Order: sequence, then structure tokens, then C-alpha cells
Amino acid sequence: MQAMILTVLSSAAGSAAGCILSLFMGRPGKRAKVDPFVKRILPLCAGFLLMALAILAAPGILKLILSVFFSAFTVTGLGTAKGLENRDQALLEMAYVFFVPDKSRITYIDLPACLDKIVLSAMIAGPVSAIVGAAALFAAGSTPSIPLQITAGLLLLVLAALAKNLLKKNSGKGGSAA
Amino acid sequence: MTIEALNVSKNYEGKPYLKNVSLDISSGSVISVVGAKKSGKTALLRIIMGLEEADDGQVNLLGDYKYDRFNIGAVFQDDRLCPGFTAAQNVAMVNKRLSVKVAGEELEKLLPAGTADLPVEDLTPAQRRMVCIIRACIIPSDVRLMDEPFAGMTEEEKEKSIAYIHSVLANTPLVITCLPGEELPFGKTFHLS
Repeated sequence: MQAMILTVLSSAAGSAAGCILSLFMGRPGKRAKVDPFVKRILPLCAGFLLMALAILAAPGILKLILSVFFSAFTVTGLGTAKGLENRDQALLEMAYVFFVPDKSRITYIDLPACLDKIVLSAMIAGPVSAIVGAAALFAAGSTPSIPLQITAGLLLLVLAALAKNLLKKNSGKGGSAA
Repeated sequence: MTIEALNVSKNYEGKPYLKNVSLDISSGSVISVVGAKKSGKTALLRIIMGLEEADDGQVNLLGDYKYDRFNIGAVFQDDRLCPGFTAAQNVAMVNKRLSVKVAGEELEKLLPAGTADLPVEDLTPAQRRMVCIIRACIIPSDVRLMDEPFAGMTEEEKEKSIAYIHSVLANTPLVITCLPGEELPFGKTFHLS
């Protein structure tokens, strides 16, 4: 039970951190010119590295927390970055032209255009991180918690689906801050 | 302040689009850049905006200026309005000192009453161009660059838009691109071959 709760909390925290980092890196003023995708998969690279280190090095329950957090961080960050990449390049150029040279004004984020991608990646991150958590527990010898880990993954999937529906109802109310 | 495009050349896929184009945009100037389709009008504006780099030549900012780039009010060849937002919201978002209410009042100078509060997806193509024109004109800018701003408009809509642009000119230089025969009735003409 404790493992399940920790999985849900760690995965939610990892998803949020992955989203925030990718949104920050994908701000229009930074991306309107040329930003290779390599730069924007930094969350993925950082996540893989830290996840591997966490699973290898951490003892006991910390192994679970860290592996779940970073797997969620990685998957969500990648999905968000991909969503940002697909965002309308034309709008990015518009923001770049209108908002420079005063770079303090570059805070417009076309959230409605990439919300679906963010939520979708969070939906995937939940079960994936639960599976990683189960693997981490298995590696630590705690096999009885695997069913609960799977339950945690399903719970995260349901929570993300509810969030997606809620966001759909509120879509078009903005995401712009200039 | 003068914006100077000096001997600007640009190729696309090995073909020359712009060849040694020089253009001075000084305070108060109004320039219609005239050229046929694919003559490089959009490329020239995009280079001045900083969205692309010239293959040869440069764009210089002459005179004392605080930043290393200048404020631009732009009308792009395609609208580039933010979907999911109203016309007034689209105009207001480019100027943080501008409220949606004031943006709506400005839009009513060109658009029918009540249109400003409609999502931009519900506007006609000509109305969207008008929103773009007002968005470009309403912000304090060092230059206004408009790429075929009257595309899709009837003669009446075009005249109304030109009158609006003329009314808000002040000393801000204005450059528009257009096809032959569509030059502004004021200012000078620059032909791209």
C-alpha cells in the first residue's frame, strides 16, 4: 500500500516537473528561430541517466521513489517537448517578432495547442512509471508489492483521463500571459 | 532611426529570390514594395524582421537605439492569429498595457459591432486581415511591416483599411508588400524585379 501511494505521488511530481521543464525550455522566444530537437530532449537524457543511477544506487523505498519520479519526468518531458515541437511554428514566429526586443514579454505559451500532448504524455507516464517502480521493487526483492504498483499505474491513468476531460471542458479559456 | 537593408540577397533551393536589394526605411517613410508573386517580397520582410538571414548583405539599424533589435508591428502573409482567442484578445495580447476592452473599441473602427468578441475562427478572411492590421498598428513600434495586408478584401474593405492605416501613421515608418497595381495611394513605391 505504501508503495502504491509513493508511486502515485512520485509519478505525479515527476510528470509535473517534466512538463514545467519542457514548457520553460520551449518558450516561443527561445524556439522561434532554430532549436534542434536534440536540445529539447534534454529532459529525456537527464531522466534516463538519473533513473539508472537511482535504481542502481538507492536503498529500499528510496529506490522506488526515485525510479518512479524520474521515469515520469522523462516520459512527460519527452511528450511535452514533442507537443511543443508540433506547435504552430507560425505562431512562434509571430510571438518572436512582436515580443522582442523586450524579452521580459516573451511569456506567451500557446497552451491550448499543446495541452492534449501534455495530458497524453502524463497519461502514459503514470503506468510507465508504475511499471518501472514495480521493476525497482522486484530488483530490491519486494515482489508482493507488484500488484499494488500495477494498481497505482491504473489509478494514475484514471486520474489523467479525468484531468483530460476537465481540461477539454475548460478549453479556449486561455493559456496566454504576455 | 533608420533601418537599412543593404545589398540583401537570398536564395531558396539554389534559385535567387532576392538579388542585391537595398532599401532605407527612415522615420516617417511609407514604402510600397511592389513585385510579382515569388519576387522575394516576403523574403525581404522576413529578413528585416529577423526571422531569416540574408545569404549576402545585411540589415543595419542606424542611429541611437536602446536595444540591438527594434520593435516591429507586423502583418504576416498568413494571419497568425491565436486560435481559441477572440479578436480583441488577439490584439490585446501583444501589448501588456492594453486591455481587451480597449482593443475591442479599436477593432470596432474596422469591424462590425460585436465582432471583436468573436473567436477569430468565426471571422471572415477579410475580417481576420483587419484584426492583423489593427494588431500591428496598435502597439508602439519602430516600424510597421505588412505583407500583402489587404489580401482577400473587397475594394470597400481595402479602402477602409487603408484609411485606418493612414490615420494611425504618425511618424512610424511603414512598409507594405503588394502586387503591381495595389500600391498605397500615398508614400513611395519600391519595385522588386
